[in-house]
Amino acid sequence: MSSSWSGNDEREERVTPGPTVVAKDLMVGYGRGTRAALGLEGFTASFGPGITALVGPNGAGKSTFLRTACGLLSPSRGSISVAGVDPLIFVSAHGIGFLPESPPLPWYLTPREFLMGLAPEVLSGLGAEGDLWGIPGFGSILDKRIATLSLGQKKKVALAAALSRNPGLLLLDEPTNGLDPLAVQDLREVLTRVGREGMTVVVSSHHLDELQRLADFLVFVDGGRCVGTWTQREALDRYPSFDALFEDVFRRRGA
Amino acid sequence: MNRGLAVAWSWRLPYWWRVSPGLAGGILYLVLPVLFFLPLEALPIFEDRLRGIALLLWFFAVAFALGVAAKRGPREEDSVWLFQKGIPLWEASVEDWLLDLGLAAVAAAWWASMGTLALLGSGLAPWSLWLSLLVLGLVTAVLAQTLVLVLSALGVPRAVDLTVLAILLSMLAPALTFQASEGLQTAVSWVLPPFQVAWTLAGALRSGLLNTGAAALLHILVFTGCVLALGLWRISRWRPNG
Repeated sequence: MSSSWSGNDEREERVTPGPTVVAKDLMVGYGRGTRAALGLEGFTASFGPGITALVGPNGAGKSTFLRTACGLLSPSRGSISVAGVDPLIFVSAHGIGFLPESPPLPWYLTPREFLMGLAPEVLSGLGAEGDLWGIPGFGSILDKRIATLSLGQKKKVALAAALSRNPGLLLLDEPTNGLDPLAVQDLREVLTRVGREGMTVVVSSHHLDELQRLADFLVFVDGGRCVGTWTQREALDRYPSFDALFEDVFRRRGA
Repeated sequence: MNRGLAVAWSWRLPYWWRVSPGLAGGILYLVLPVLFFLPLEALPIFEDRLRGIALLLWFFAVAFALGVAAKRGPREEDSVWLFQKGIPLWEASVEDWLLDLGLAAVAAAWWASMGTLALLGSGLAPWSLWLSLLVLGLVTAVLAQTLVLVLSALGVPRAVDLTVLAILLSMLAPALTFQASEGLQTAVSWVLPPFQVAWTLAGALRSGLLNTGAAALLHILVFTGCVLALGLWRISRWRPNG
């Protein structure tokens, strides 16, 4: 990664775009024997710089894909690459940003200690108004114990951790769950900015109205497979909203 | 990518301060050596005052190490962040292990100093006494925290309980195998964690028996090295759930 976070919330232009994630005929399972279950089954898609929304019903395989893309799960068949290499190799060499649906955080630390332990330079991004890389409201929580923070504040800390070390690839699993409308708006602004700067951002969410304002691309997932890809423009040229597109895609599949 | 000890410190210090031993625990471990100044020789379970102080110090070291290392091995709440930033989990575990070792060394030095102070005037050479008490406390703590690390890394859900059992077995091994052949006794002594050997090492240091001390130290180093390597290998293959 060639660019870096600088002081306040000013960020240098990303010289190289984020990596491309390519999945081919990906099969990923959980468990063994009779308790085995497939999370992905023949998933094929690619994700480039900009914001891609991963959309599908519960259990479609969205979280499994995100965890496979960051190397937490290994495929039993097919392949997945990040910038042309195995995700584990990419993660070891460059690091990525991954925000799990329920981000586990060390409750006994303060956000300052937690972020310092991940990347000592992280707090150079702290702005005069208490915003960290454009994520507002950090000034008042930086020295509080994580255990005492609200869900929204914890998600902010987790997002800042995911954004630390300036990753080229950012994977977000249901990032808006449990957030109030203002926090959702803050998150949208941050993601829009990093997406414009060329970071490869993949967001899994059920909030289609939010994704409509955010995503450049749409990947529909169902039954562990990719069942359609759209650009935002294609989708909105043909449908009044992402909701309508979603309904059409999944109604037709169910029919 | 790596973090280095200085950065690992920013997570470990608050852990010691707020979780284990914690402020109250820290004060307790600071004050506990007051017990060394009691007439321990009056109790029938201790042969003499020195034995009483050494046993108490050994017990402090076990309790201290098991408490600090209780959340050892792969931890979901920080592993998922370290992993995604390309920081090897085994490396972060080594850093924590080393920092805990440092804390155990400070605690053992304090207990050894107080123990030596309590035994001033008993005719024992203070420096060799201090060194032997320090080594007993430090080696015991290192063995206990390393066992917790490897058991946690192997996925044992109650690693601390099992470590206590291993300590008990190690201390009772000579009694359990006293009628067995010498070969079997040697084999058992190499399989079980060498808590008993720590006593041999401390005794050798106090008595100036360098050969015995060197053999005991080698035994402890080989066992700790092998067990630590196994634990780190397991951690390097482990993935957080995310």
